[in-house]
Amino acid sequence: MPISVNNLFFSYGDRVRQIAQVKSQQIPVEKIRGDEHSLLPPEDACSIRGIDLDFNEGCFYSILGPNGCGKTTFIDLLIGHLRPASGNVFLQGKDIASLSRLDIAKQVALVAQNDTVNFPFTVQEVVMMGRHPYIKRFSMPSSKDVALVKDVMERTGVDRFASRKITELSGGERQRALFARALCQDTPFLFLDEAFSNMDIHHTIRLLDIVREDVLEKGRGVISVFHDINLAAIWSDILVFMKQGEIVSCGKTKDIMDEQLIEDVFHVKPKVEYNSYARSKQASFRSEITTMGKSCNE
Amino acid sequence: MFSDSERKFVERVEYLGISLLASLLVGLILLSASMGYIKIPFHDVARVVLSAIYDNTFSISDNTLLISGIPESHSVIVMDVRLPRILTCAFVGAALALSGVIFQGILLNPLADPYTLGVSAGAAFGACTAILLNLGAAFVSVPLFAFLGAIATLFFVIYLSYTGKNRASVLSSNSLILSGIIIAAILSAAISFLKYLADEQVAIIIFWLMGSFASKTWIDVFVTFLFLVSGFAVSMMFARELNLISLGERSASSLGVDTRKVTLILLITASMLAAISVSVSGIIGFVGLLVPHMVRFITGPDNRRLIPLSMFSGAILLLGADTVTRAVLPHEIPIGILTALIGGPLFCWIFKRGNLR
Repeated sequence: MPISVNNLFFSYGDRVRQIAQVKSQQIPVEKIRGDEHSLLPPEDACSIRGIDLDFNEGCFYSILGPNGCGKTTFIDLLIGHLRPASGNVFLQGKDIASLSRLDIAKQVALVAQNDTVNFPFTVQEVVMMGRHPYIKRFSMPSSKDVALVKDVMERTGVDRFASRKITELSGGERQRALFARALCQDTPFLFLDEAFSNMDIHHTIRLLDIVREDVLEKGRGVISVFHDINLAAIWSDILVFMKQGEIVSCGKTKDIMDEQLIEDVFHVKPKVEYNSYARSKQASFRSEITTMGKSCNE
Repeated sequence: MFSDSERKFVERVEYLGISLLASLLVGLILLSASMGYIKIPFHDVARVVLSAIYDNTFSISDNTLLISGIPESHSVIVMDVRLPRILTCAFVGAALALSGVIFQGILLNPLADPYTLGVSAGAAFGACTAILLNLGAAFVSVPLFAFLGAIATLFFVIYLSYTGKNRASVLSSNSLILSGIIIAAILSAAISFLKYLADEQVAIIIFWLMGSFASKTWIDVFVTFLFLVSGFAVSMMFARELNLISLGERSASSLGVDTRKVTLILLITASMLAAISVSVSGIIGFVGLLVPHMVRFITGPDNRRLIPLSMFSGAILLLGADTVTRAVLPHEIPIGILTALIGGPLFCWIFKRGNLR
């Protein structure tokens, strides 16, 4: 079932198609192109094909799928980092290709998987960079910028190492600093590309709660790539399952998360049950996998 | 650190640092002009320079008050021989340091320097060609060929890293460094071949390659100054973007930086600075690599502070080195050798201390 209202509309292949049909119908492979240069050869299985989807503000989406299924590519298309070969991404009704990077940065923030950090900026300086889209050339941050940065650093617990150098932090601490930076961008949409991969469970839950709070109170739209199906199930409103560049299923956690779907996507044998402690469906696994079909990464 | 008074304090310290370095540079320029084969008293140098500035500002040519009692030859030595060399040297030092800062930022690599992209090899190839074709007699042609060689190399390197199949690798630091190394390797083979062909002119080629500020003219001063000022303006304009790019292309782009545009502009700016430096003075290594590192210890990596301070430090260091080889050492040795001999061990020391960031 497709999701309603167009705020961030992504269509690919110029054909209006329901997600259910995407699953059944074989769609011709199309190239993803970054300007003139194709990102992937057309015969490659790892490309994004025919996706129609709306992402709304005030909703938490999780994208799940095996390695190399195109999750990061999908996010790159959504934030305008890559250009689709055909089809359009609409951000608040405007084609994202027609917007400048600065306009996009005021609407969409990204916490990337692993950022290279080669220069010893302090954590505070890095978090302040989140205000870049709002600070004019040659001017200093306003007191509003400073106050917001301070507030976000306190909320995320980054203030404890605010004056330390980002190069000296552990992977998890660095991710938290970059997370704080993205929150400072104060955008209607927030993309998390495996933003929790190096974080301990305490900080993962703390940051997910902050994100959840923003979704409910500020009406922020969050689109997150997860590897942990159970974490995704607890915090998100909508799960999006991807496989080999296609969205195979999409909907509310309690509606679509089941054993058959997870087995189809991940080739494992889970048991899915409602867990009253987690207040959500949860999957448990054991040492049993099913054979993969033709997969795109191995 | 965030409160207003503390921010003002930091700003004041920055201005203090910059004015300190600026006065140090002016002092060194005057001191350097007084040193040499003929010793000229420090205050005489100051008077000659002041009167020249005065004359030029008010178009008066018979102002004798300031320079009365100074031999004519002294004022000629200062104005026509030493100052052009000294100023060219200071500007080249600043240009090399500035382009080092920019390259290290956009190539995400603290080890990058103005010559990483093969700019120096291109300039050397151009200069060697000019020398070999005996164009050296027409005295502008060697710098001109060097400049053209550097620019041609730069654009070829950019072209190479633009045609990646993968969008993410277009103009990325890895593809730029790789293209630069490939081109530099090819060009250095070509230079060896030119040397082999050069017979008795090989000495001129080798001497040119080692770098020198001897017999620079006011034209050199003005040309380097022009490039330096425009390079400084462009780099300060994009200093904040450069901060973001130095933390990775994808996140810079998500923070609103048009990374490819800014990278291209800064790349061309930095390479122009390197190209003009090489064509004026030959290949002078380590200034562009070392100065940004040393300044970064003090200022941190924020390019808005790093850029001006690095420029002053680069000017002071290179002028100091050139003054040593010109006026202190019994026999002038090529400046490129001196900077490598001092800079290399210094770099080893910094590297060993584990502060290579």
